[in-house]
Amino acid sequence: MSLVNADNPAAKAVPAPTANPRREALLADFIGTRAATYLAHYRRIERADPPAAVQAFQLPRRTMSWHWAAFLVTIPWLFYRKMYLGGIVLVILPVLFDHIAPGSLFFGSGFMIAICTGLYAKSWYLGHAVNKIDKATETFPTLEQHTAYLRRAGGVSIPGAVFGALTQGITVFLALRDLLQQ
Amino acid sequence: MSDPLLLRVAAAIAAIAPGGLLLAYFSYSSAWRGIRELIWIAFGLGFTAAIPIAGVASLYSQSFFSIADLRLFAIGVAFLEASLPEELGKFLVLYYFILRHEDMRRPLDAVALSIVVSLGFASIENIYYVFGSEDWGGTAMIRAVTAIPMHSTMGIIMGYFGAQYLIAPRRRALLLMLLCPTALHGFYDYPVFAVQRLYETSQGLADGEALEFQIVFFAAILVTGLVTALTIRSLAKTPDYVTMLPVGGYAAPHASAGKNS
Repeated sequence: MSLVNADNPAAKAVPAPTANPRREALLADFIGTRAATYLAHYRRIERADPPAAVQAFQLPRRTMSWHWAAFLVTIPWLFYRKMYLGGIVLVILPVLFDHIAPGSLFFGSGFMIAICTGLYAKSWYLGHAVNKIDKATETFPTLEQHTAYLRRAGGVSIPGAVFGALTQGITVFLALRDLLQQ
Repeated sequence: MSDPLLLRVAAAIAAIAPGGLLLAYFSYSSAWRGIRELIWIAFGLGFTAAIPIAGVASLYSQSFFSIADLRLFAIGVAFLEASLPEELGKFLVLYYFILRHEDMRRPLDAVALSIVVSLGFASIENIYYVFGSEDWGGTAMIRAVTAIPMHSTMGIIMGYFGAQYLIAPRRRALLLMLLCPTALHGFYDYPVFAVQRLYETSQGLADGEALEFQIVFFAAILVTGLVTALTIRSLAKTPDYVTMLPVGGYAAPHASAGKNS
């Protein structure tokens, strides 16, 4: 059985040489849509710091690169890529801060979150993917099970994008309305 | 609430504490790392889902205030402004994110996770009620013993049908997953909103009305308790609920969220 999802043209488009083809194949399987973009970033990390490329928690620290979608539509992008915990934290924290210190959503936190996500989006996503791959290999014994798990865990979620867009849109609208009323 | 910063922090803690403590219990008592992570995701999604739901409900909530008839007003607010959007929000989170999650291992997990989704939803609702109240301490205490258990109970019932859907994906289970909690939640809210309006309009309660709303309120609690007890009994008796699902979750007939496209 091939490690790379045969139905995934993005995964095939990636050039061959890599230090760890098995991990990269699993990454391509996990990422699905636009895998080449993220794998190119993964290769950059791998070249710059090989040990960091296999440790999920070290990945985000390594390289910055710009991701327009993550900057412009931060929350929908996170939910679209199934990084639910990240999306939730970035929704909840500004809402809580805005209740404790009204107006903070606009005077700082919202914009800072968007810039940080834009800068680290690719690394965060790769960290998330490596984490899931590690979990699959720790939990399940066979390659078929790894692949089944990663295909469910990875890819993109349209309901997630819709949910994120609604949440971000309405949060901004409500906060803006409160701010104007004050 | 125009209190100093420290009081606002205290109010936020008081609002989140009931749901947060139960969340901590669920998280602490789960052995597997995957399900522990999913518990936090479920809580967070329930919490987050309240934001779009509140936004959508606020678009039409004002229209109920023009209804002169007390009972019609209370039914409209209880079912269309409160229970339907709230339970729909929890249902969508459960159906689109939790039941399809790769770490969902057993149908029984759906029940626990549904409770956690409800707790997340109840927590943010609590924040808005507590911050919107003059007596925030009293509001937080009353809601800790009324709203939080009510949302958790609805979570059990919704999760039960969610677990049934994992065992045999049929539309009937999905329909009951939404309708059953919506109906029970609406009946619970109906007398509350009716009495609230009477006090807001300074009309007070007539003897007959007091009895009527008390009967409906306690009947709603009784029926909800009975349904919950039956679902727990069924969960305990049926071994299918603890059978492991295939790796990567159940094979949903209309699932597209997990596809690598």
